[in-house]
Amino acid sequence: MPSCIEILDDIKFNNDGSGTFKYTVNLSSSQVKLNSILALDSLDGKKVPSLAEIQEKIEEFGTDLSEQEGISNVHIDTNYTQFIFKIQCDFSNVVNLQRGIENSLHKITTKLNGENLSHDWIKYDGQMMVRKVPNLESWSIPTIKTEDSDLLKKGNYTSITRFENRVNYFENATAKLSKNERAVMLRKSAFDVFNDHAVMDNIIYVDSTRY
Amino acid sequence: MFKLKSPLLIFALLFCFHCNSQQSEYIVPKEASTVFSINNINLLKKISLNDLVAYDFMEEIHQELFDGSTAGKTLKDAGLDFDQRLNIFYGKNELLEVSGFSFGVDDKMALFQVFDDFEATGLISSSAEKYSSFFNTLIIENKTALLIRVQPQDQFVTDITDSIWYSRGNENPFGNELNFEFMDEPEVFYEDDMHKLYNSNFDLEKNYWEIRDSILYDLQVKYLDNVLADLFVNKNSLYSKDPRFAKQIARNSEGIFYLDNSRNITNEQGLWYFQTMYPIMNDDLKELYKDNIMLGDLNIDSNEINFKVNANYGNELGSIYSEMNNNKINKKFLKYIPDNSPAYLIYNIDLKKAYDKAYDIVLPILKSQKNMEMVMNILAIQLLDQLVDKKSFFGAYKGGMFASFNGVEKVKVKQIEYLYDEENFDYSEIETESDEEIPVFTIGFASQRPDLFEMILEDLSRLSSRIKKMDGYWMVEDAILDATPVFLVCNKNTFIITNNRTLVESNLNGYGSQSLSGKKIKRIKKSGVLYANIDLDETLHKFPIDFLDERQKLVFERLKGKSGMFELTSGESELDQTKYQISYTFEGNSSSGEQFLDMINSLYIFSK
Repeated sequence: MPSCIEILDDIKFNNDGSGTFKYTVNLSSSQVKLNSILALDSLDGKKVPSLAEIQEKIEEFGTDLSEQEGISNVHIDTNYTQFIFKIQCDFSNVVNLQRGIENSLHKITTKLNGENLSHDWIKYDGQMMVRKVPNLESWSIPTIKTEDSDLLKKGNYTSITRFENRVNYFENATAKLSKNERAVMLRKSAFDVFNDHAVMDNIIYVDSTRY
Repeated sequence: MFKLKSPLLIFALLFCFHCNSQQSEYIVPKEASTVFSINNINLLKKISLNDLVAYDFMEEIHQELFDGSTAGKTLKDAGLDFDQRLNIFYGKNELLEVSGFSFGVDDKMALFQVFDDFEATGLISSSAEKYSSFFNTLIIENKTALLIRVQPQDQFVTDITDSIWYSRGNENPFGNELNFEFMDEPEVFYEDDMHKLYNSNFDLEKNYWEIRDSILYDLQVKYLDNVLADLFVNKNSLYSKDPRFAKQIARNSEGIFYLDNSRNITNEQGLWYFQTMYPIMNDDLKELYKDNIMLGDLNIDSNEINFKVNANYGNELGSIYSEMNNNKINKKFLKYIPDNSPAYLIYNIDLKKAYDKAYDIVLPILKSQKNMEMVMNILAIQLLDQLVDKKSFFGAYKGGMFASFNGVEKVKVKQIEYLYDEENFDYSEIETESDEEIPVFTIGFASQRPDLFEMILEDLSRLSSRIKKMDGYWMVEDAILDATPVFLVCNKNTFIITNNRTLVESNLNGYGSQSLSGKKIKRIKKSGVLYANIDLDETLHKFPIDFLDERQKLVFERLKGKSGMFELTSGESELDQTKYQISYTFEGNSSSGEQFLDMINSLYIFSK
């Protein structure tokens, strides 16, 4: 079923803690709404950025991320017809990944404060991966209107965590293990994620002995 | 002798009493530039207060009322005097915004059952009692009441705060980055960023907002006191200061409308640069707009509301409007509007005539300026006037236009979905199609130079393969949502932009017998510069509101569920005024009062 927004985060860990991070925001099912919003100067008293401004900020983010310590192979793929935005990068370890994203977001936005961004949302020590989505309520995100809440219920947030080794166990009972036992998928409605950030939390235990 | 005198004395006393008894319209502040006054408020007797405060025109003042004390109550229960008018007002100047309403009070005790959050805070004059709540102020004087909110202009508060902030040697509290995000209004900022007040990392920003809050509060108290003192002590009200309002309010229609455009122009924040850099010219242009005022009457029949508006202006502006507006209907437009269009509009102006007149009137005003920049600008204008082929220019774009909405069309829009492999959760993108509704529209412009449009399109088609010449028209492929084309028609007298395939494939020369009926054309011909017709039921249900701006969307949302016809007509533009009339013929079960408020609400949203 088409959703208003589809967010897909996909992180792959190598045994040495390095890995690849992919983040996709797919708004192709909201093309009509987005096109009509972009045609406006302002919405609810707030300035609507132009497509060129959005493009500029995304490019700035990509360029800045590629300059961060421990981050390499940054690829940004944008589709302004169907509104699909993808970013991919390799990282040396999750600390580099988090600080890299934090620093690059700081460059393009003043809206998110340092505390929000410096939150460690992922930890991995080779045996255990802890993922904790920050409390969105403390972020400067505008309140969602009722009609938009209904749309968000149709949206999806999918998180995939991949390992070279097999997964022994994971704590979030709503997550799914792939048949090859090396990937865990967690899929929730965007509305659920927005209202209760903890639904995406998970702790995954990886077998560090078997290959 | 006494016998003869006593009836006269009684009559005189009664007359004096009647003349001196204060009415609600006397306490509308002079700062109000928009006023809706409901004369026959009996119409509203049965409307619940909760329904009333849900209207947009109550938004500025409804917080205090919308707190449970209004539940299950009607205006009748709220102690209002139904023999007096209910006046809803809004206005702003360079310092403040003022909004509220004034009304008659019949039962003060009942009134305070509803306004139960207000506390007595003293007297403004010997007869005006002041009551305050967190947001609003209520003044009761004799048998009238004023609920008012005064808010300092945001920009003005920011300017003062910045001035104090930087003069003390502080840094930019928001950092040096370019702020790309949506610019929040201060209220939203406070709400969302309240947590920052307790975060030591944000001391600078916190201090800035604390200073701003103090200034805002201080100005709010000062401005409110000034407005109230002027109104209740000095007796300077809109009624006493503007005889046009006094005259309009004396009319016996169910409702009146007053909108002083001259003040709206003067207080337009977007013109600050012009106002600052060219103060003398700004004063001259203010003079041009000085009599620009819209006065309207609302009348209700059993199932029809008529709104008659006189757009008044000074003779100079009037002479421009007369040249621009008084033209015969462009018959070429009529054949491109199908009879079953749920909404259509014709705007019949001649820019060439307006330009010539405006040149004669505005140039002497500009010439009164002696500074270098203005002299160079005037020289450029005069040279352009001499060198540009105005006949060709205004021949290409004459100014007249029409637009029609022809329902919606379902188009297939491509979307991307993801297909996951259960083996390893690898995924692939698949393209799916979904049906999206888009409005089918036609917009046409009067033009005598189709060759110019042909030339432009011919050149552009060499740059993009999506622009194609078809038989009698041009097509821009996948122009809307990358899914549906837009067609361009360069006819002898009209340039048309449409996404209506039936127009270009079967009706290139007009809809013939399917175009507007003779009866409808007769009504359009009777109208002046502007004519619009909207079938509410058809339009509200069919039009995808995502395509509207927020203000239009709000009106649409408010009117949903109603059915009826809107018709806007105008008369000839005279030297001092143009008359407009909106007729709203409604069906359905809602009362005249509700329909009346819907109409007022729509006008309020558009005029604010």
